[in-house]
Amino acid sequence: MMASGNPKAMLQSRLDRYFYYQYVIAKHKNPDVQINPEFEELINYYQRYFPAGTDSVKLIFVKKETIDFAIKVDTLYTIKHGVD
Amino acid sequence: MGLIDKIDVGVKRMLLEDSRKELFFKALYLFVLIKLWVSWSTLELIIEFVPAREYSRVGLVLHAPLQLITFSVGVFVLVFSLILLTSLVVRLNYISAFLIFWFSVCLSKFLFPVLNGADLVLNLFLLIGLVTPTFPVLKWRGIAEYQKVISAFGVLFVKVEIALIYFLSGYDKLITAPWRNGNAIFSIANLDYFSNPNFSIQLSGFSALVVAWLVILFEISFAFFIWFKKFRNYWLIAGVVFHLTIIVFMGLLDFGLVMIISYLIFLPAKKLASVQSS
Repeated sequence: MMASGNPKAMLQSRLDRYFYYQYVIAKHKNPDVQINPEFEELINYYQRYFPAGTDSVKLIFVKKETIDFAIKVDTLYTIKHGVD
Repeated sequence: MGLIDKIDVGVKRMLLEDSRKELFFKALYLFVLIKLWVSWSTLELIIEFVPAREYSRVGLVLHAPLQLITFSVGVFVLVFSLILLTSLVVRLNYISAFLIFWFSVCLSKFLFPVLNGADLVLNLFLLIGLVTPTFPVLKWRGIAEYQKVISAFGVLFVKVEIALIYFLSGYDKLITAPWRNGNAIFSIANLDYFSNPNFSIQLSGFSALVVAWLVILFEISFAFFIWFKKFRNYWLIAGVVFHLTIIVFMGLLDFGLVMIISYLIFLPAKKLASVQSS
């Protein structure tokens, strides 16, 4: 979305990030609960990006850090989810 | 002349400086209009997934324009566009300044999930914009003279606000270790969500350090040198380059545009009126 350079798409990518963060924040508060309302909301929103006929999706949540001019990427969660 | 006298003369000079406030506020209105149209599809998505809710009657009154969005996003965009387009062609006045501020604040409340610093700066300018018009002239007990004084202070507040934005941002960077050693610039260059793949660059540790200090020095010095006519144009040009760089490399379009538009307030409309002759 950002790569397009289209202001409309760039604004929408901020909304994409909003749902992502809502889930990550909620998950951080309750690490044991994988499927929470925020996740349902996220899936509901991201469905618009799923190709037609998709039966399941794999969501990977990553954390990227730069410390002392070095980049470190860790996978926070990976969730496989069935799509109705 | 004592320091107090010098400051007094300086403030009077700034108040008498006939700035291009009309141009500044109309440029802001045009920016709001373009942003509104660009946000249209995002507004549709927000109302579908995260609609704004009012929890009190006061909130309902304060955010009354949001009822239009609840009814139809298209109607809200149309009404706000008409207000903005009308304001662009008529003289700066209290009524349109109020309506634009009101609708803009409501729009920001609704666009909460996608807000950034640009919206806060924009709304702050629009808030100050409530007191900057001098039309319609209030012909009651010589209040018209006060209108001019309040308007002049409004313009001065906008300038002070811009200077403060830079100073506080620069000071905050100065006291932050990752900015002093350049690591912050390296991190920014590697942000996935504030990047433009068409113009991405990889910075070495030394170049990141140089860029970080250039940013710190520019932001802190802007707050001082912008008040001196002799240096003003150089800092404004540097500011335009600074924000264009942010727009190109980070894709922060709206923030860069708001800050570049804000520079219009520093452009004098005509020669300074003499403090003495006033």
